Amino acid sequence: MSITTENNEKMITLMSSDGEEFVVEEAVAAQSQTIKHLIEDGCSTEGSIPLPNVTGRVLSEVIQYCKKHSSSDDKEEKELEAWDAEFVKAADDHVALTDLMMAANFLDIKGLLDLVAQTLANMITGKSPEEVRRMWNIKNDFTPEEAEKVRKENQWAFE
Amino acid sequence: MQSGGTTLQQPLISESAAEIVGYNEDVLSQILSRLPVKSLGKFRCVSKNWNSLISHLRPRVYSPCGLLVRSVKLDEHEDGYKYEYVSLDTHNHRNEEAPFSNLTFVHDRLSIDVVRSTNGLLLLRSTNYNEGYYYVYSPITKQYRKCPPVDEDSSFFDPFLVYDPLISPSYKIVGIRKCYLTGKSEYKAVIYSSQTGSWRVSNTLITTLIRGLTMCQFQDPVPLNGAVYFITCCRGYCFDVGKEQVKEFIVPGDSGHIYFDKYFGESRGRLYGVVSADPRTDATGRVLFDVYEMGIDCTQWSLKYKIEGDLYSIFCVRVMFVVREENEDDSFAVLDVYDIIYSYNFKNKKFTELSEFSFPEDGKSCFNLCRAHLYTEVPAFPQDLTKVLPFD
Repeated sequence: MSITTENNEKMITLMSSDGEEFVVEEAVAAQSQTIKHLIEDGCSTEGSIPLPNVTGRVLSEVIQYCKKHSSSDDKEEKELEAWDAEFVKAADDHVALTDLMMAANFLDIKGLLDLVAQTLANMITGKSPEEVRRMWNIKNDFTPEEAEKVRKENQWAFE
Repeated sequence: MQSGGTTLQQPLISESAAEIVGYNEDVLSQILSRLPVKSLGKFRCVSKNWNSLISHLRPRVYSPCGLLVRSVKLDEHEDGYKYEYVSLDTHNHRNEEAPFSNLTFVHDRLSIDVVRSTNGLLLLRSTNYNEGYYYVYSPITKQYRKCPPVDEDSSFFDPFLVYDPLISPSYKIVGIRKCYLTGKSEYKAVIYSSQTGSWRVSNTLITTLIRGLTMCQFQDPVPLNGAVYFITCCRGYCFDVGKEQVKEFIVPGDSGHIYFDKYFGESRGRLYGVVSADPRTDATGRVLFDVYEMGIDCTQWSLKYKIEGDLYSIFCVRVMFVVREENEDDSFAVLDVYDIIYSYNFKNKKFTELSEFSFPEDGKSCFNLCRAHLYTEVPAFPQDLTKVLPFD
């Protein structure tokens, strides 16, 4: 549904995978390249934009990020950096961050993707391969011989 | 129910999330490309997919992360040069941890000098010129390989390393040799291949110069995409190391007045040349240097950036490097201004001081900014570097 506020801002409605609706300014939502293209293709006039890959919980965080970053063009860069740091801290753990990362990837929001990717990278930097597998349910599909070979080739990284 | 829902008490990772992060290369690359090389080495052991993905990663770490700056020995009795590492990471893209704090080759009586730094490998040379041994060294794994001495029967310019793990795990060391003949000098390449383990002289004649042209000096050759570019007598030559073929490339200023006397180098697959700014084209009176970029097809140079500053400072500013970043707005030059290293962002024209290391006050050594190298972290190493420091 396309509505207009008193500030003459065009509003659009985003619908999450679990049916939650969010009404946001078009300028805010358009930070997502995916949504921007959907709007340009005229998909928003039909009603709300469905986002089947993003849950309401994650979408509300994404919108929070987009709001902050659309309204702060002229703001102090440092303040925005501090806000970003708090934002990813509030996401709390790698599960929430992973959800956020997937959403940022699907919605194509470069700033958010960079921010979350860097946070996850920092998080796993010092971890062991076993810990990383556990974090993301990754199956170790090396045969024992292969595993030994790879380990030997990269022994320098474990020292 | 949709995965990743909010109803679970203990938020297990949703199956789709695990799939994506564990197996979706797009998303995973975003994370992996931000990791330091050492973590990437470890994470090759996670799974086959991770191992293969890391092998093919074209990561941020392919942009230079630091500078190696050599100390000059003032005390004869002190052993070895020392190399300090200066981080270039002004944007905090990566984890701040430096790959190493300094390099010393202590045991080496005769000193070892860094000749080149290419994609994570260093080409070292024993500074005893009678021996002329070269070493290929990985500062991350601390492994090296000693290459036999070159048969230096004539002038041999500082060789360079041709190594790109995305193209081949093997590497080559290539030098240009000047051979004196009657009335002229011939230039040919001398090539060491890690596959054969020996040096040989290429049959291809790169160029012949009439002797007596003392002005004609080779500018430091620049390796790029498996070829090497160099300028002499205002002509550019490109030697393809794989095919051993020579092509000429154009140098701006056909009249021969301009050639890149301030800097000639490569960054992210592009050639850069720097000249003093032409006052006739500068209305502001603040442009110190013009930075030219070679187009990707290598047929044409364009004036890409200007380095601005107070004009009186031109005599104390030296262009050390031009660095092209993934995001063009981040591209910068590394400048030496009165022995302090600055990065200069081409877009916002901001100077950022990089070198915080203090010059040693012991009076025994100081740093030679002219002998600085860009260091690039790369998550792959040739497997034939087997010996570990200290050098034998």
